[in-house]
Amino acid sequence: MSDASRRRLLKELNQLQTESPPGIIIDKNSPDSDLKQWRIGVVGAKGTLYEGEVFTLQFTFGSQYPFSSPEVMFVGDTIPAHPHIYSNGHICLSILADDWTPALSVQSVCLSILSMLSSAREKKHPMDDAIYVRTCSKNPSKTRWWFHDDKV
Amino acid sequence: MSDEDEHIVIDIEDDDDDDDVIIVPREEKEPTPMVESAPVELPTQTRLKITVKKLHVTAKWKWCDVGEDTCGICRMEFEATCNSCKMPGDDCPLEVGVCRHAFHRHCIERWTEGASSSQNGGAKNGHCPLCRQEWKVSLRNRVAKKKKRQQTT
Repeated sequence: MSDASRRRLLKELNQLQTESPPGIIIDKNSPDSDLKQWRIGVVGAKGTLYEGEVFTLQFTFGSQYPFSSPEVMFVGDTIPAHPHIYSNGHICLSILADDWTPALSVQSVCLSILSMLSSAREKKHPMDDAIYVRTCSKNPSKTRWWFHDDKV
Repeated sequence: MSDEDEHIVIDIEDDDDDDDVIIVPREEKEPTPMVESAPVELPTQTRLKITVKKLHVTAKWKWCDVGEDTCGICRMEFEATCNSCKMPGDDCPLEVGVCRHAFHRHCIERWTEGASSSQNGGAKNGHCPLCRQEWKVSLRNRVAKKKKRQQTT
């Protein structure tokens, strides 16, 4: 973790702990002192298929953050069934890969993922889930994603 | 003193062929003179005679032409340094794009010059982090005047 990355992450953490937006839960003791890995709870929004369900997102930051994207995936016992979320927790979301910009943040990524959950019309994993989960790398950043559906 | 006199004119090589002259604000070289004149008497409405013996003047600086107050990349105030600098001000200047978004120059250059997501293999990022329009530095913030350069052909 570089000093510059650390300073920006500290700012983000401070802001999230003082005023986190609805649906985003940050544990007071969540990131350990090196700030490299965070776990954040996201709560399915009212009136959506995931209403009230709580999922855990894991962020892992590299030393280039925010110039390179964090690695973000769902972890824990409940991985949301969603057309863009694989059963191993990997998320197919363009801002986590090609469309990342350093103006994005932990908060904006969480909100994008919540909005992606909210727009689902069916609770199911992607069609290629079985193959992907068997063959993918442990690190979702290593996946060459194809983004084909902007609607969900 | 006219507006032009307050600037240093620098001719730069520029690849966009619009033959412009970049004018940057001149660095303030002359130190502010310390006022040590005779005490001033203030006119008053009362019978008191007030004499000013000493004034303590403080100043504050701010970048010109910047609307928002924090850099969207490092999240620090524009008047503070980027996350890699120690001295604010001229050593850690701002850059404004044609889209009018501003960043610390060191922040936006680090973004446009490469270190990007692992997915595109460190290719250059030509877009503004905030609006995704093509990133081009606005010359409006540096250019006060456009001048036709003499044709040499």
